[in-house]
Amino acid sequence: MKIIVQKYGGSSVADAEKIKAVAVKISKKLKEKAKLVVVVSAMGKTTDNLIKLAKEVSNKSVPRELDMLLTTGEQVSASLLAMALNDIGIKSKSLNAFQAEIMTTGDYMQARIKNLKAKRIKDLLKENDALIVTGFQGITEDGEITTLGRGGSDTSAVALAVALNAKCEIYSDVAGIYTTDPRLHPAAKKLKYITYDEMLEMSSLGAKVLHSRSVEIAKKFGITIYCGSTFSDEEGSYVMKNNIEQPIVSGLSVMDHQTQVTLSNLPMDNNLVQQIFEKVAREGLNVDMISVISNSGLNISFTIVEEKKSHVAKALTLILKDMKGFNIHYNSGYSKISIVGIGMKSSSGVASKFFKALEKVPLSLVTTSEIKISCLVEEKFKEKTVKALVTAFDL
Amino acid sequence: MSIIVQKYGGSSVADPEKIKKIAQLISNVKKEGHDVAVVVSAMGKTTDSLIELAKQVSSGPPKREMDMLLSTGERITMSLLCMALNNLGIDSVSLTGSQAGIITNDRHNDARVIEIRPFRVLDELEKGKVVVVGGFQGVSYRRDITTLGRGGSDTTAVALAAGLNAERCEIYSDVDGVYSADPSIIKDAKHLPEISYEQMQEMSEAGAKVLNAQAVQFAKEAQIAIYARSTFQQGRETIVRKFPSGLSKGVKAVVYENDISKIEYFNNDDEKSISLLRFLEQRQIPIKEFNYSKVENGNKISFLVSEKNIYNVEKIESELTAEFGNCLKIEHGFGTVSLIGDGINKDNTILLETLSILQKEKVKIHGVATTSFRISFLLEKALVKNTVLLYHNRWIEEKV
Repeated sequence: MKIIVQKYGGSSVADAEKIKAVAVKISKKLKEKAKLVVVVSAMGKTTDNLIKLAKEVSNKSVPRELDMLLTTGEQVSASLLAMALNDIGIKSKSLNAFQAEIMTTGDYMQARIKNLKAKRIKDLLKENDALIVTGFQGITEDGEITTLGRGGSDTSAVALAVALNAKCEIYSDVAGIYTTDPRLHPAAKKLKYITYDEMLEMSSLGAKVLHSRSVEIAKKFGITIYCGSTFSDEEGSYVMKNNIEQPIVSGLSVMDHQTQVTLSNLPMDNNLVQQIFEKVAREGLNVDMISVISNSGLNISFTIVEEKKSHVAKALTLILKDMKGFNIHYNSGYSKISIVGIGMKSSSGVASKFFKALEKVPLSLVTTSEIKISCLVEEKFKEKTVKALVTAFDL
Repeated sequence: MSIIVQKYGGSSVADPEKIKKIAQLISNVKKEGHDVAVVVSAMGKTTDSLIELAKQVSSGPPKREMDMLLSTGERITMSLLCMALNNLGIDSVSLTGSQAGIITNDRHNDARVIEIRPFRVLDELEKGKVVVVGGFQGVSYRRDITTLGRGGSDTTAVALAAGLNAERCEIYSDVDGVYSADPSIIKDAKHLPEISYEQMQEMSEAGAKVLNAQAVQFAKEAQIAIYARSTFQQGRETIVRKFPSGLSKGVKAVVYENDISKIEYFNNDDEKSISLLRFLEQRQIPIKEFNYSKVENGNKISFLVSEKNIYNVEKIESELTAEFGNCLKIEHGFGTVSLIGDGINKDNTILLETLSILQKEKVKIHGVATTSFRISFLLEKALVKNTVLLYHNRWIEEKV
């Protein structure tokens, strides 16, 4: 039995008409003599509206209850899609995470899939043409409902594709993966292929195309992800192991609202450095662009997203409460702009081309990895930076 | 440990402000030292908007999917209520019907609770938490989500109260109890401070929306008293409990139900009647007032179908017509008006006088059915309200 896993994002199922259109799209796919397992997100702005409701009843966050609340969104869209499919004569059932047996850890709001055997799905596929599975959510061994974090439906889809040994197709309102955000740079080019590693860098750098956990799983199990547009037949992009076209730089991503944290004149103590990053990471904070320099004292700087500033400040104050003579600065209003390309590994001259392109832009910080170069610029220089890099690397 | 089960209906949790107020009410009861389990309905018009959405995507939504869809409404309420409780410093946990161990049969849209496995609820209560359970929903042995029909949250509450061996079950709504008639159409309706299980059950089955019929049945079996109260107005209440029969004579209430269809089937072969009933059973369509009679050249069966828990009336009707052809007569647009009272049919005086009132007022009757607690009249929908008024005047207010 050939199985295809498809995932439709929130904008693809935003209203009744779109749900019916998705049903028709699924019916066409079924003509390829395959059975379909379809993962859906919540309709349009449902999740945002539910979060708003939650804020109206309480100003505290109760993660377990928030997950209980938010997971209703996918159950609504999944059942509606199953209805629309049955209405056009396709045997279909919707399954929530409990019924689809998507087992996760118990970390509410950011659970990780532990185990997905898909036994029930396989059984039900014998008597159904398409099964609709609620994305974004899982269940613990104790029967508690969890969510996988924003964008988690991608992860649900890839994990199901692994369990069912199936192809994975992810549909949204964007027809694939672009060299950079088309809203920022309308002339952005669509990539036919992108490697897992490039995609991982891109999604952790603010390109909101795929949930990074989904790419990690795809990489681990060698699943090719096809990203396409729901409502056009335009050819999309493939996320896979190797990039057949091998460009040096594949894409550019931008992350706004960055705060640079600078600690200077700390005592030289490796243990302290470790403590700082451990604590900050435990708070669930994504720390990037780390630089640790020691000359007369120890100087550490790193970037965080602006909204986590108070968390970080609290954590740092706690660690450094017994020390004197050092300084902490928080500078907000930055954008982090990165270029990513698997070809950088084997190609020289990328850095010099990068600096040449940005010679007229004041750079606050530059960091590099094997396949990426990132720079921190004040937000007012963002457009200029993007334009210069897009031109220099033909993105 | 004394457990109190409370149920809050849709209008009591219609918006975040009301949910916060209820959290406060629950917190007060908790602080009095009770263990509290709370059952909630979907917020305000949520269920109606979900049904509307289903109609937009499908002409005849499968019942199983309807239950997947509708059960989300209560989940939204219960999680919000727990957040509001948490905000007041009350430790709480929300549980879906399935997590709370509400096991039902697989009659989707109108399932019956067959078993309560309240282990998780008891565990959480023992930890000192307020347990908030999504009403109206359960899980079948196939692990499918089911719903208990309109008003099913009452059933959840009473079933849970029985399963937890609770001290009492309090049902909160926007009305302060049970009246001799729907107070929204009869302004002189009398408040009933107490009523027996049997009479309440007949009222609910005859269309009274204040309490669900299966809920009353459960309460009767488990001998749990139901306290029907208003959420935001303290004062009167109705206690539904066991009464020795024969204490109260005469008509106690007038109840109506709209959206009734009448189905008649003529044939000359009993096998055909059976296959019609089987057809409806397979689609899980409940029927009532079933009647079988011999007529010239064959048999006639007739029965009523209440459309309230059927979300795909048009589809079923076209299937019925295709299958059973023109010997089948389906008529829509009826309603029933029922008189409820203990021993109401001991003799025929009430039936006789009511019939003569109808004759005098030239109200055409399409059918009459009686039980020991009830006399029901089938009428055109348009005449229902006025007939309720007429009956109430005669039998409750005793103005002729």
